[in-house]
Amino acid sequence: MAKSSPITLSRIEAVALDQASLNAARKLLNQSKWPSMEQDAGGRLLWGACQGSGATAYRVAVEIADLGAKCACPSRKFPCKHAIALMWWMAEQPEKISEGEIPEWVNEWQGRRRRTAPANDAGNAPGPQKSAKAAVAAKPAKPKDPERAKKQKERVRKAREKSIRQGLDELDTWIGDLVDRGFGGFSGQASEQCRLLAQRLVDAKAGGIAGQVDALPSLYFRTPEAERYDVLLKTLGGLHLLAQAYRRQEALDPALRADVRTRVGWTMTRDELFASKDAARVTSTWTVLATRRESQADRLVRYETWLAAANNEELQTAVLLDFVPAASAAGAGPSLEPGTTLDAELVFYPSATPLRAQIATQSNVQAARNAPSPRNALGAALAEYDRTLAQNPWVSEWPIAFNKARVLSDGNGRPWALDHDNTGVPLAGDSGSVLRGLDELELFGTFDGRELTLLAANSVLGPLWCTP
Amino acid sequence: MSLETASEPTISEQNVEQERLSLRRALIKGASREPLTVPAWLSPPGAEGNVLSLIAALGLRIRFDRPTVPDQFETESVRHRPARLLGPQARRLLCRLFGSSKKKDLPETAMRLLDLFSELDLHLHPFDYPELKTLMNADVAMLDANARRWLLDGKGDEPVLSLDDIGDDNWTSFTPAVRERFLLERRASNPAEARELCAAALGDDAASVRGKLLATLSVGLSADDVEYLESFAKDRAASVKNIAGALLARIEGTAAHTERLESAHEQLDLKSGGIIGRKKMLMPRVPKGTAKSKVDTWIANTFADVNPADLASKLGLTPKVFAAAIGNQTLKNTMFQNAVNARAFEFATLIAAEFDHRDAWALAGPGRFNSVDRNDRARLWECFERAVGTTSLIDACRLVDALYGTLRVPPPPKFIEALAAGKPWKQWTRAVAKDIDLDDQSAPQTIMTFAHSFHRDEWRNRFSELPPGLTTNGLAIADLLDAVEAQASASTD
Repeated sequence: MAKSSPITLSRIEAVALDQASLNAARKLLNQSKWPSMEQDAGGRLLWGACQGSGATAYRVAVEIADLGAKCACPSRKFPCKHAIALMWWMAEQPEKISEGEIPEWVNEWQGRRRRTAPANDAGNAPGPQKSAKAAVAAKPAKPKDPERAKKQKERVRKAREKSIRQGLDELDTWIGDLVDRGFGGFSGQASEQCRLLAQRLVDAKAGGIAGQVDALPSLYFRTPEAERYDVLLKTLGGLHLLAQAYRRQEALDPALRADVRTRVGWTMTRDELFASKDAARVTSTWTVLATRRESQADRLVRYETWLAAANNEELQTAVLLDFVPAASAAGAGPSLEPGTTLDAELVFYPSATPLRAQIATQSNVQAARNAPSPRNALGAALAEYDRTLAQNPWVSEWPIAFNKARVLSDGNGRPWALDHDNTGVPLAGDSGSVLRGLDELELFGTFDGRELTLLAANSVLGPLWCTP
Repeated sequence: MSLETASEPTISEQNVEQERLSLRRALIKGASREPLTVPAWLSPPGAEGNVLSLIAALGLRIRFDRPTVPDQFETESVRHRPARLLGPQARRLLCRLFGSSKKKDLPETAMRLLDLFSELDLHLHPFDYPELKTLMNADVAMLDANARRWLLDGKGDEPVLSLDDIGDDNWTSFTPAVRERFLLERRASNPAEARELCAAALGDDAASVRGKLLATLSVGLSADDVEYLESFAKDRAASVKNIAGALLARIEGTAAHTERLESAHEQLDLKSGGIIGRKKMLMPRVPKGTAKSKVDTWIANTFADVNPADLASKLGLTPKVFAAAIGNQTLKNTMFQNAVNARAFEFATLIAAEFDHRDAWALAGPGRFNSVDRNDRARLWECFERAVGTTSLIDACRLVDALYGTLRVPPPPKFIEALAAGKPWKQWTRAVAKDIDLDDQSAPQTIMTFAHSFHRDEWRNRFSELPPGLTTNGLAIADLLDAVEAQASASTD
């Protein structure tokens, strides 16, 4: 027998901002887009995850009494199409919504919430009429001529290739000028000169390299003075190497070629990735180690979700990336919490060293007891990092994991991760300080060649999931 | 990608390192000032002498460098007691209530929780320290050794010592708050030892610290302390002299006691009133010309540390008559405080029998009864029963909350029962929903007051009548207290 629902279409019509919201929500009434939909035993709250264009699904919650809603998507509409779609599921197919325990993020939202005015019936709603029926009846847009679209796409690609090469020539000229003037004078004009070059690279459609140039001044100034020369050498050397590799990309292995093109600024859509024959697919039980948030110069906020799985006794890692406009980033964020496991098929972007991935399917999200155990000690993990770097010289940071570790502070109070033969790496930030006094640690982090930023740790006191 | 080619000589580590060092100066100064010579083995075919190739090769080479591991590390003295760490549910709830994402502090609630954890010998989980800094800063002295070390590490010149290791030989190295607590605890078990420790250590501290430590002698005060207290007659700070004098005044048989009693007696007017003149009335004889704003201070100072039993005896009044006769609120409160200090709880109860809610509010305030033993503080709730019962429900709830902050001991069940039943409860929840802003952090404190396990389930049923924010936070606190108490009882089984 079907469950009766406290949400009706008329209530949904009343809260929807406009007809476009209803139309957009209607397109989300496809169960494949909803890895999860749940409600609490008291019938007070609804929540779920809706797969958008990002790597991770958007978290959505609705309070049934007043149809107050929350969503992690960057939309400025309130309620957004995801929230309306979830309400719509409840209104028309409540049997698809299972009962579950209220997750922490919903409790957090409730803890901050103020009550909104209760939703009225559609008859009392101000503004233009909105109709769920009209959304159902809406016809899809007319498809374009595929042959013509293909030719247009090829023209655009060639133009962009030409533009990028011009941009790379400018880059090399800029590096050459800097070498002529000397690294010693870099600090005085770093910000202005890098910004100008970055802008020209953006105009040349080489956004990936533009971002690296734009980030150089802040990297330079936050580096200890004694190491700044090396930072410049590494960065500028890597940029020229990338430019040369791009010019000779036809001679590269396809996987490395993909890395080069990505670093310069070419992107692959989610649909293109899923259709690609070069994309590796891995199905496993993945543990979410950590999430990170970084504000970028291009006014996007970048979210990283780091995952690990034990496959055939080897530890495999992956990172999911989501980009959200900074203006709407508050309250947004990945839907996967550190310390959870999920059964998922991941599709990896083509690369000589595959790491970035998207989730194709997911299910069975649960709390994790621990992160999967690494097999190697620190020395072997660092050797693996070196091999990765040799295969892909543009890797900026790489996940490593090692066992039998301990954390000690040096004379300056900086924490180091050490193994039994005193191979060690310094730890970034202060998350490592809470691990002091513990032996036989299993540590997971991202290594950039100089320091390790912790993602998670297994210990006798339980797991540590590093929050940003 | 490799720097080796079939027709080029193999590049050795030494070659690259040598080139790197010799080219460093040239790269810093600039090729226009110091020309760069690119070695043949570093130039790709067709790009001989290409400086950018040199930069790329060297830059890549540097990426394989690793930081040098120091020869020595600090000896680690952190010791964990896994069985005493908060469990997963309590951790989760604590992080929800006090996590770093919270915009506002809950200092009073935080202090009460740390007090509770300390009492139950439960400690914060070290992995939660970064998230719970706000909570930890509420009362650093109540933290366990590891938490305190983590919080204070690298801050200032204060040595980071383990609270577990505090003892007679190192107690002076701790903060004033910790030293005060150390002495209070020692006074409760061995007043003479505490006095000797105090005497040995009080030399160089500032007056405020010396005064605070000297005041700990109020616990277990006796004639044995007279000689030590009299030695402060020549202390360089007036405030310290006053504290010593006040303590002496409490010890029967001392000159200070006699003098204080005489002075208080002279400043009191005992009148008869009422229809047939049987009602006695005690009023302070405030000197003429005393500014109105200074009257209460004069009364509190004049009658401080005078045992009401001694005063009643001197006036020829029974304790009951004396208590009923006090006609001035400040005098009443001062006599109450004096009775508590003298551990004359029956007398204190008599005085408090006349308390209304204004009297109780005047006595509520943090730190007032810090030197009073916890069991004695628990007894003091009886003194406020009338005050709580003779005001409106909403004010009663707030008063009990304020008294909890003062006494730092939960109220007995009967205080809660009367406030949680039937119609008055509905009126209170309506008033709370109307009056309390969701950002008002006093709400969780009030919930803490009533979160006695006896009534926690009762409260859970009624939380749904509150606004969502209060419901969720209130339930979180109730769940947290349940989890903590369950863990504490399981670990003692």
